[in-house]
Amino acid sequence: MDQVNEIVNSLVLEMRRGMIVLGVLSQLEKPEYGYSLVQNMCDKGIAVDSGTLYPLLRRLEKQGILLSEWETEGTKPRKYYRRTEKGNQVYEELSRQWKQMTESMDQLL
Amino acid sequence: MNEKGNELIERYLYDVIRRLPEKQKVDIKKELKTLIEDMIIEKGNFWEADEKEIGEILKELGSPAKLAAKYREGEKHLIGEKYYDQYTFILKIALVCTLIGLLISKVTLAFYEASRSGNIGIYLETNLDSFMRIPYIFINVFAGITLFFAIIEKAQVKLNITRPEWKPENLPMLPGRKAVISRWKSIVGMAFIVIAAIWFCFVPNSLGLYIMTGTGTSTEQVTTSMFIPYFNMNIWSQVIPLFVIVFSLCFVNQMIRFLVGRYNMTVMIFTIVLQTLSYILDLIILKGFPIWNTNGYYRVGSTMMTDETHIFPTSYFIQMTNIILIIIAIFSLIDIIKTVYCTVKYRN
Repeated sequence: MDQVNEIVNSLVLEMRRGMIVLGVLSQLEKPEYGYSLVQNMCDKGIAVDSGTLYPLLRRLEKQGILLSEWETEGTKPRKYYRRTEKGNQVYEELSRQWKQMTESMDQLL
Repeated sequence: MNEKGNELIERYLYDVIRRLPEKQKVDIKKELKTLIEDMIIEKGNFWEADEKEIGEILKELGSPAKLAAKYREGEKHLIGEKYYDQYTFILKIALVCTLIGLLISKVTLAFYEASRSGNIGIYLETNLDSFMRIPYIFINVFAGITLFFAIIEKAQVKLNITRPEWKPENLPMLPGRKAVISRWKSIVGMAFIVIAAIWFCFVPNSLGLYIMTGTGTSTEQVTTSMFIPYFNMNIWSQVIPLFVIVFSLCFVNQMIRFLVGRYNMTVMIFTIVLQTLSYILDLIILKGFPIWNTNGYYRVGSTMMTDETHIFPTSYFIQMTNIILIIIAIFSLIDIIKTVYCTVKYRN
């Protein structure tokens, strides 16, 4: 049973890796900051921990898909991320592919 | 939040930050600090949080090492997917070249030197470290190429070591049973060559004839037996390099057969070339040098009971040389013909 769990866990990890990016992008049409993003996604059933999300956001920004801004008004400085124009296009295409894939997978499973 | 709590956070942040590249330090510290404070707020009162609670939150975030690693996730390998195939390709080529180079230079040279001095024991002793270094040479080659590619990976250099485009026509033909050259035969061949080489180079005077001679009157006969080596030891050190070359050629021929494993153009060409070359060298050795121990046999002849002073005349040796050369020629030709025949007939 342990072996099964191990295998399942590593495969699930791989499945999530691609999924999380799409999930994150879907939430960033408007600027959001890291921690609230974590909580939103958790509420909607996709649990990500901050230690994974923050580096991911940074990487997506490096690729030009997101843009970050430090908000210094308010009690504390917060880093807000949102999609760029390029990010919007990437997101559109990604979600289209996702829908296609899930339809096909539904037929397979 | 008290003094100690603040300090704890600062220490945590420091431990994460110090593992990250300079450019990102300030920004990541800022965002992590905000994150931690958000997490504290969520748990309860920000101002009342004590170090115990903060400690728990930090534990939730995970060890600084792991967190920093996640930020650097792009770099968990030395040589990545992008370059790995080219890396292994170049590595294979380099290691094979090193092997061939070492075989040719060290081993052949060692044979030559050792047989010239006639004493393999001393030679090995004085040059032992040179041989002990051989594994390190391979390690060096491996390390050099790996380092080279690690640097390329870091710099993300555009690299395209293309192998020629693969086409179905270029697929190798299936070797029929008869086209396969038995690997064991090649190994046995190589072993024989090595043994012959050792024999000829180090103990050539073990090949010879035992001759019984008798002296004395008809009433008293004293027979002595002598061992007369075939070969003329005086010129042996001159001949040895040539022998070494001949044996090396034969060895390479067998090795090619071993590596390729079947009859094809490569094997055929190598066989023809190497057999011819070694035959030419055989010619030079046997005809160009006074290889036979003629003096030894002359002296024997003169002590024998008969009146003939030369049991072994000069012509005897010349005949022997010619016969040997003819035998070698026949065997070489048979080998060449067989190879050509098998290649032509069976490679398709």
